[in-house]
Amino acid sequence: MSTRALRTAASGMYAQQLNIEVVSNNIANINTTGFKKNKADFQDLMYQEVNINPLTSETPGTESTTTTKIQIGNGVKPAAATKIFIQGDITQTNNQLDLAIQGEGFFQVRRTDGTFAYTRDGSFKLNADGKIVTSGGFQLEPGFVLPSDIESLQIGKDGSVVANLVGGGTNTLGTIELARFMNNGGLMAIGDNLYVETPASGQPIIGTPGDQGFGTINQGYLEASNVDIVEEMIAMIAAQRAYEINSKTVKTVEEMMTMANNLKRA
Amino acid sequence: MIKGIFTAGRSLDHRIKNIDVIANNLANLNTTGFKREIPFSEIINEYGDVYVKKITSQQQGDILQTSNQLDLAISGKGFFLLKDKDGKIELTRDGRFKLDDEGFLVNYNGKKVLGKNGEISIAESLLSKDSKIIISRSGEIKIGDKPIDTIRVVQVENDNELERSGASNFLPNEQGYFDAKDDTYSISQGFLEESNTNPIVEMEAMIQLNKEYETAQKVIAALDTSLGQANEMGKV
Repeated sequence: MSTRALRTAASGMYAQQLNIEVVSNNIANINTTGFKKNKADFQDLMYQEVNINPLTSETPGTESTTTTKIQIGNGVKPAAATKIFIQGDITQTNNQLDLAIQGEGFFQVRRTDGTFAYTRDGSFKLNADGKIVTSGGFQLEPGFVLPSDIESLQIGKDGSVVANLVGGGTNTLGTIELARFMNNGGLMAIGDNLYVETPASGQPIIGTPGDQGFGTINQGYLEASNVDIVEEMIAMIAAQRAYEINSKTVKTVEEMMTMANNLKRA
Repeated sequence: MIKGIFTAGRSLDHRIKNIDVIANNLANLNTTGFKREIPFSEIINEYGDVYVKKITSQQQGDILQTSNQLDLAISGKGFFLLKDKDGKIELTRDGRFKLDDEGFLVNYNGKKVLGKNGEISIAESLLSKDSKIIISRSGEIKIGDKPIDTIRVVQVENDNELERSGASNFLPNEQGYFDAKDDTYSISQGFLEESNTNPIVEMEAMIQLNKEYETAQKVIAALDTSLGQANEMGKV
């Protein structure tokens, strides 16, 4: 007897298990600044041509030459976990180094090996050298060295960084630039809220905040995670039920196999 | 009477294969652009010839927002055209597209998406600043104000008899395909079409098949008993 249905159902259960893993990672990151939720993507497996009438009433045990073939699928496989880059809520923090991007774009940071990474997490800090760094310690690009006699920092919507010095006077330090991609979904998440470019995402396009196609920078705000708890709970229920229904397939096939075993009485 | 056993046996075989069909529909509950296969039925005429009717349901799946600008969904009739590197043409409702290294619009397996002017290349416009891709309801691709191409949406005769090639794709049949009329479809940018499998319908079919299987099994048991009794008749 064919065990294809069993294997197909097992592939379905595996896919739903992965779906639950993706959902649980989203829920775990519900309070992670700048986190973008994932969605598990699936694709169906190859189809196989199957003879549907191997039994004929004329010659028992031989296959009829006039068999009709139909295509039966072999189940499902996970294709990818795609990031969904919709805007997260902007929440006020009043911290002058907290920056949120409203709209398209990523902050560029330089990793320790010199390559660039991109992030939406604008919870920046100052390091010992007076440079703006991410909470992971990676330097914001283009980098500025902040003078030591600084009283406060003003970052405009267009990314301009102006230092108010102790005892009056200002010092324009430069502009924070944003990077955007043709296909955000192609970016690879490397953890620490960072992404790196891939062939699928395309080359970064660098621009000034507020330019056409780029978002603006909001000082004193952070972008919250875009995970919606209700949506995730619904996804979880759906995944659990889909898992259950695939297990019902296993049970049904098992019952049918038992019946087949009982065809011949002892 | 012996023929009856084989007919019932055939019925068992047919049901177990239809369970395979249902298992595959259920496994693909969350597969983008998947079209469910309706369990096939056999029609045996008076001469014992068997006809098989297989139908793929081309019913519209739900449209789900992803907000990825290269995710496309078709509402209405029609398929996207894909071409792989060997030139093989496939039809699909799965609009999970991206750009490849050379700036061509491809599906997630790297097969090129075809437009009215062939392969769609966005490479030259990639580096301009106002390069937000806008795809209209009729499939016209624009970068900023610059038109690039129009996504080709095609239809086929008897779309529920198309051969599958895996990954939610179909192979065009002998009659070929033709461009869909503008008013028969619309494309939504940032959306994907979900699988059209309905778990309730599948469960119902599964229960029915299970019971039919049981019936056929009982028929065999009854015939077996009768044949046993016929054997006994010869004994003195």
